[in-house]
Formats: sequence, structure tokens, C-alpha cells
Amino acid sequence: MAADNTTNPPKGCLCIVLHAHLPYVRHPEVSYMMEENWLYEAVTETYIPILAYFNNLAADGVKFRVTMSLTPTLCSMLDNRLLQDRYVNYIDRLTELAGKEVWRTRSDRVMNRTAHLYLERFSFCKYIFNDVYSRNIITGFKKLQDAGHLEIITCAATHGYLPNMQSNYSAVRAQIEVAVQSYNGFFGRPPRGIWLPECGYYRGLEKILDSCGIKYMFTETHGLLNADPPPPTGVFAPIRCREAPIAAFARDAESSHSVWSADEGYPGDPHYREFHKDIGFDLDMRHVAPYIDPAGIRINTGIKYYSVTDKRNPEKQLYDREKALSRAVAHASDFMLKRINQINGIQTPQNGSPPVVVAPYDAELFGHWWFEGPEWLNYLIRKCAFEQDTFELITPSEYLGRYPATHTCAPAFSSWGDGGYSHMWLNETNEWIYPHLHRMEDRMAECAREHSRSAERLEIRTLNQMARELLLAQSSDWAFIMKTGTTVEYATRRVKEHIASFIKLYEMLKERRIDEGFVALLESHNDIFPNIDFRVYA
Amino acid sequence: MAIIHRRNGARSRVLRSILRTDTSGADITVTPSPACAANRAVNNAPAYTLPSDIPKSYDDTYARAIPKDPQNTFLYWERPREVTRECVFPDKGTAHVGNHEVDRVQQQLGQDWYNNRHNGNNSQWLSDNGHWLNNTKQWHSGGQSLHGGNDHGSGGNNHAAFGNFTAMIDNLIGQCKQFIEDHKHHKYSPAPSSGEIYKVNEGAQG
Repeated sequence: MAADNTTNPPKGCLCIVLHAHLPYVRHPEVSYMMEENWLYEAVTETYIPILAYFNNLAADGVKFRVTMSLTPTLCSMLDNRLLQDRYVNYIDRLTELAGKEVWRTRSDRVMNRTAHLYLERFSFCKYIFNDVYSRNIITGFKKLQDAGHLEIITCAATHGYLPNMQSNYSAVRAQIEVAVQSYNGFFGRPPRGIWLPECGYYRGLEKILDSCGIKYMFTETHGLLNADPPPPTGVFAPIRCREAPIAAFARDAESSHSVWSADEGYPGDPHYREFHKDIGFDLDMRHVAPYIDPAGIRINTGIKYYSVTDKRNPEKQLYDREKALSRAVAHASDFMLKRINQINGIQTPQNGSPPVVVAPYDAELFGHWWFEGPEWLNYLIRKCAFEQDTFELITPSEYLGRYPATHTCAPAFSSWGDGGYSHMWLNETNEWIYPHLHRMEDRMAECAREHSRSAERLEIRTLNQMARELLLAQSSDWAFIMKTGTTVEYATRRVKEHIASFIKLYEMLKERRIDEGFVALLESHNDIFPNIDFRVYA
Repeated sequence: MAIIHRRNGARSRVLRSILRTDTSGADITVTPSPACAANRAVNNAPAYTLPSDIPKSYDDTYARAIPKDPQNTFLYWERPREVTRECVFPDKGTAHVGNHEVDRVQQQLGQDWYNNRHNGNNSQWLSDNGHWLNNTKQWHSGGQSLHGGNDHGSGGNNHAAFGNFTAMIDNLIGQCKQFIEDHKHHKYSPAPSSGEIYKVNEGAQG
């Protein structure tokens, strides 16, 4: 019953975009760093479950198309030997803890069922990670892309917020060019599309994207609605940028609301698993001590027994998996029906192109923040395939291949951050970083031009490491963390270390007194982009 | 290839190694794998530390602005004190860096400044050099590069450096005015952003 583009042409298209990103966090100097858990939690709760569901969909012959951005920093971490080894240790500890929980909760039927769920889940993750993908799950996503189910796009090299770099052309270009090179290394071909970090767009950026071979990008809703001139199709068709042949798709606000809204979104359903009540905080320290921060700091373990219940009521009900999954089914139906109504209500433009609804989400929403998210996604894709024929799932490349962008305009400065512009990354909590970042960018360009034609091997290593330090300092995550006030100390320390390391390398280079030991230390510590060439800044 | 959750083999081996019932009814003894036990006995002292001291200024003369949204632009600059002392307040000795530029930009744009903020650790730039252009209903910003240019080092010629510096500020003011014009019709209606969902389920957290 699925819509197809031959005998039963769809009235519209739905483009689901999952943006998977984590900042580069890797600390070989210690045996435990709490912030590395961001990766391990995401692998356990989001990436492996999504990968498993996508593979099952493919095996069941379900036609589906999903777009995923896997950022260069995330791919680099997933590909990193040290982090792979540490993940195995992490999942082993978690599995052991889940086993203890099965015993501890044996007298409570409901809790015990949930404990069994975690034990099975963690064992499954270990099996998938270790046995199926030999510790590198990137290969799983690549196989899905090669089979035509997934379109993987790139993102800026270290997720740098590009509007705040726009005064330095080479800085922005390097973020894109390094990303393209990184993508090529992991997936065997250049990327067609890019997810701009935080959907941060400024006028003129498309020229840089085009020079790096990118064919399309995504903007926030008002990036297109405020375009010059505004497109007659609103956000329901891509536009062609005026200053370069790049297509731009814009986020649809209506489909976002169902999922993202704190008040009305699906994840707030009372039957879904509650995020914050974790045994890492609730149980006696003697029970959880071996499984939390060695310094005795309580952290999330991922084992939680309660449902959202009522956001205003601190008394939580026990989590009932069956009820939660039935809600996920209902929400998948609801989302699908809303898209049917939405697409039926959109007037098709005169050129006959069906409207496309672009629905992007952070991938980590599914499974990590919204525990039942991967299941919802699975149900949604199956329902779309078998229970309706109004729209089809599509990727941007597929859409552009059938219906090239016809309206030409200049998108507007915009982001999907709070406030719609740059507030999250430029405010009183984080503005102090920009004079340093801009100075680093200027110096990097200066050194790249000066040494572009001839440099000794140690100088090349120094320059390449300067490029890495700059890229890592530019990660928008640090400024975001400073604003949200979560792990501010860590983010501040990271920025300062990259700035200070860069300055030291720069001064050594200028004074022609390079300490090879220091360069080697940084190379082993911040080992991202092993094949980087500093000349991207020339 | 479908990912099948195997019912025997690896998964069962994992379960059997973890769950060992004790028929005496005593609390279960879970024997950790050697890897897990070793991981718990960690010595987490860092093997090395990286430099983290960053300069308070770069002893250089430049100005730069970053558009933030249709109402705000972040403008910052640096001008060595020697230049200021010699060129701005030549008769007054110690000068308060920054107020002169505040007055000039305010005069040019007809805006109200909000007060300088001397915020210690994280605003060391603002206390000396940078200022928010805020509360400016006429302001709009856009995607053009705002760069007044660099003058790396004034050498011994502070007057030349000062002249370049004022030109930078004037250049930036001109660009900002153009932004106002380019974006005065922009509208923004917030769609739920990624930040909202993280507020769901706010509850007790240890």
C-alpha cells in the first residue's frame, strides 16, 4: 500500500533527518573521564538500537529512506581504538550491574521485568558492538547507505558554529574541507549534503560549501521564510541559492512540534520512561560505587525504573514497558496521520513537484532522552510503508534527483538555537572565547600561507597540530555548555587547553625552536584527523 | 543482514556467568569478570597535563564584530594602553580604555549603551575592550562579514596605530548600519528547538 513514484505517485514526501553528533572527547591521560560517558551512553541507548532497527527493517523488506548526519568528531571517536576498548569495559560493567539489579529486584515483578530488559539490552549491545561490527559501528551505517536505505551526510569538522567564524573565510572553509576529507575516509566517497552545525547559516556560506563539492544543506524555518525573495512554496520545497548552486531545505515547524515540544511532544507522555530517576543517584552508595565515577560522584547509569507519570508530581509510577510501547505505537500513528493531513493541505506548486516535509531531530533524542524513541521510529517507518499512500519517505538527494529546485533566492541568517539566531553561542557566558578563537584563526591562516610551499617535517607536524587545536577549540559544544551551565568547568578547560596549546605551538614555530616532545604529546592526546593538511588554511 | 537476537550462544553465556543462584538463600554473589574487577581498581591520576593559561590580551590593535541577531551585535577591540594614553588622553596620563569608543559608536548610531560590565574571569575582554551594542530597536544584523581589519603591532608609531584603529571602528559602524537596512523586515517565530525537549521530565535528581 506504500506510495511509490510510478503506479501510485505520492502527494508528498517526508524527509526524516537524524543528526548524530558528540564533541571530540578522548582522554588517554587518565583511565576514567566522566565526559567520555557521553559517547558510551549514546552508543548504548541510541546508535546501536537505531542501527538494529534499521537492519531489521531492511531484512523485513520495508522500503524506507532516512537521512543521517554523522559528524566527523563522532565518526572519529567511533573509529578510535582507545574509546572502543573503553566502551567494551563500560558495557561489561553495565551488564554486571544489570545482573545485580535482576537479583535485587526479584521480589518486585514490575521492577524485575525492567531489570531484565536492561540486562538483555546491554548484553545485546555488547554482542552487536563486539561480534557483529568488530567494535566499529560506522560500518553498519555505511552498509545501510550502500544498500540505499540511508543517506549519510556530513557536518562541519568539529561542529563549529559557522556564523561566529564568518569574518575569517579560511576558518570556515577549513571546517568544511576537513569535514569532506574525513567523510571520504570513512564512507569511500564525498558527501552530497551537509548538516550545518545548529543550522547556523549566514549569507554567502553557500559559496564555500559549493567550492567543497556540497550539493545541499539544511536551514532553520525562518532561514527560508525570510529569504530574499521569500519562496512561494514556503518550506515545502528546496530552493536554489542565488550565490552558488546549492539547494537549501528548511525545517518544517509543524512536524518538529510533535516531537520537540516540552509541553505537547510525545516524549512527555506519562507512560514513557523518566530520564532523571536513575539508580546511580537513588541507590545506596555501597551498591553503585563500583559503577559510577571513581571519585564517588554519582552519575547516570542508564538503569531507571520509573515513568514520567506527571511532570509536576515528584511521585513517580513504576515503568511499564508494555504500556510505554503501546503509546509509542499510538504516537507513530498520530505522527503519520498528522503528516497525511498536512500534506493534503499543502497546495502543489504549478511545476508539479510534490511538497516535502523536512523533519530533523538530534539522533540522541531517540533512545537517550526519549527511551522509546527508537521504537517509535521503527513503528513510524513501518506504518508509513504499509498503512498509507499519501506520502513516501525520501532523502534530499532522491528528491532533488526527481524534482530539482526551481526557485532561486538568498536564504537569511538563522539558526535552530533558542531565539533563532546566535544567542546560545554568543552571550555573556561565552563571549570571552571569540577574541581568542579569531586570533587563532588569523594566525593559522598566516602560518599556512607562510609555509605552504616549503616546510620541514617537524614544522609540518607542528602546523598540522595547530590546525587540530584550532578546530577542536571551535567546537560549538563548548560555548553551548557554558550557556546551559551543565559541565562548564570541563568546557572551559577544554577551550583554554586548545587555545594555550595552539599559542605555544605558534610561538615555537615563530621562534624556530620546536619542542618535538610537546608536539608528539599533543599528537597523541588530540589525535583527530590524522591526515589533516594545514594548507586548508592557506 | 538482519540483526537477530540470538537465544543461545553469546547472550546465554553472558547471562550464565552473571547469574549464579545460591540455594542457601543468602544474597547472590556476582562474580565480576577479571576485566571488570581490574577496571574498578583504577588509579585515575592524570599521566600529564596540558597548558591552559591564556593571555588577557594580544598587545595588538584591531576591532571585530559578530552579528548575534537582528537586535544585537557583539563588537570588540583591542588597543594597547600606550596608544590610548598617547593619542586619546595625551594630557591625562592614565586613561580608561574603551569609554571613548563607546561614546563615538553611540553618537554615530544613536543607540543607548548598556553599562560596561567588568565581570572578572570570563569577561576580561569586555572590561577593557569589548562592548555589547544592545537594546537597539533599529538594529538588524545579517550574514556579512564584519571585520575592521588588523593592525598587527603598532611598533613605535602609536599615532598611526590609533588612526588605523579609528578607521576600523568607523568601517564596522558602516557595516552594521547596512545590516540594519538589510534585515529590518525579518520575522522570527520560534519553532520548538532542540533545547526544549531536554526540559521534559525535569524532576528530582541527586
